[in-house]
Amino acid sequence: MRMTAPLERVLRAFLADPVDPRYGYDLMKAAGLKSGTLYPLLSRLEDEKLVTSAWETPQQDGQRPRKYYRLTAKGAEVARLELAQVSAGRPRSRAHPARPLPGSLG
Amino acid sequence: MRGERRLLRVGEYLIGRACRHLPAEARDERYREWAAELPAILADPDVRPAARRAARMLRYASGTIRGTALTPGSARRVLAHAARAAPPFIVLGVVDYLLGWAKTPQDWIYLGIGALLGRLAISGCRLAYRRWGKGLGKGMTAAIEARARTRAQARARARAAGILQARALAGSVNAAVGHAAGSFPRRKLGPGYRAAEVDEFIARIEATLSGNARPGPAITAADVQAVTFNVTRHGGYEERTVDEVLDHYARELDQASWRL
Repeated sequence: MRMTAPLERVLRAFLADPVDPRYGYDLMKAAGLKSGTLYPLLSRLEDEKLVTSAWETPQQDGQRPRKYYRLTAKGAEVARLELAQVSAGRPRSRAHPARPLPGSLG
Repeated sequence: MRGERRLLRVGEYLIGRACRHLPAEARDERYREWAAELPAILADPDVRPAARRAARMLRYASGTIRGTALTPGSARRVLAHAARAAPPFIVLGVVDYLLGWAKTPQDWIYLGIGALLGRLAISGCRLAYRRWGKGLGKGMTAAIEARARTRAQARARARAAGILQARALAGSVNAAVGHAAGSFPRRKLGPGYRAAEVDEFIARIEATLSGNARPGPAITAADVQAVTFNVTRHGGYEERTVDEVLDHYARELDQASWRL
């Protein structure tokens, strides 16, 4: 799966609390995505076994049970790696001409 | 909330529309999932006033249509694209009508064909631009460069890992023989660090780490962070890879200094 900005946001939202189950609407709010973007992403993540979903146990107040999502162990690991890679991709410079030779560092 | 029941019904209708685009086996579950979110959105305590919650709920419900229409494997991809392409045609039709360009039915047909061809030409240009003309736009160039940087970084990481592994495997042998295993990739074109300088510096780091500071005074992590190399125009070591390896050594030196 290619790293995209929405995907990055979803992963960050998940990693904010990796064990906490998240409802779709919570994730939308946390990641700032529209439902039309979030759900396709979630289903792709689920296909790749990075995210699992489960139904809430029905409650007495007659509300319908909601479905929640959470990262799998593999998902959390992959997400961390990917996000680390994204931040590492930002440029950084060490090199440029006209510097002292390493031998002269003492 | 007043009218909540009715609002929910509108939302559920929209979700139902969205679910029609899904393959049959996924339809029912998705519908239940989304329908269960609607009351939760209407009850969201963070969003005020109630009208905003209602609007948000409806946006959520209608957003699912876009999502299912664009999901791979959904039944109506083509239609979704057509729906996106339609507005320009409608505008054109209205303008034609208002300005009275098209008088006979034939005129309308010609206009329709012309519009279609124009639309195709635009898509063609867009496709060609995406394929070949990527360097043209400034924002695009930046995005592409950013992507290339990420990739280069990942490559450098992988290479650095390989080099470090090779060095760790052959470490003692090479220290004895006096040449470096797992050398750095060189850049054929374009600038890179001067190889001799890098080699010398790394030899000193390794000497420090192995407790044998012969080629020069001991190196500290701070030295590694601060070191700079001259750059050759061609044939130097690839900078990112060297940087990665040096970062690794800096960490190692840091740990070693704590151990001492």
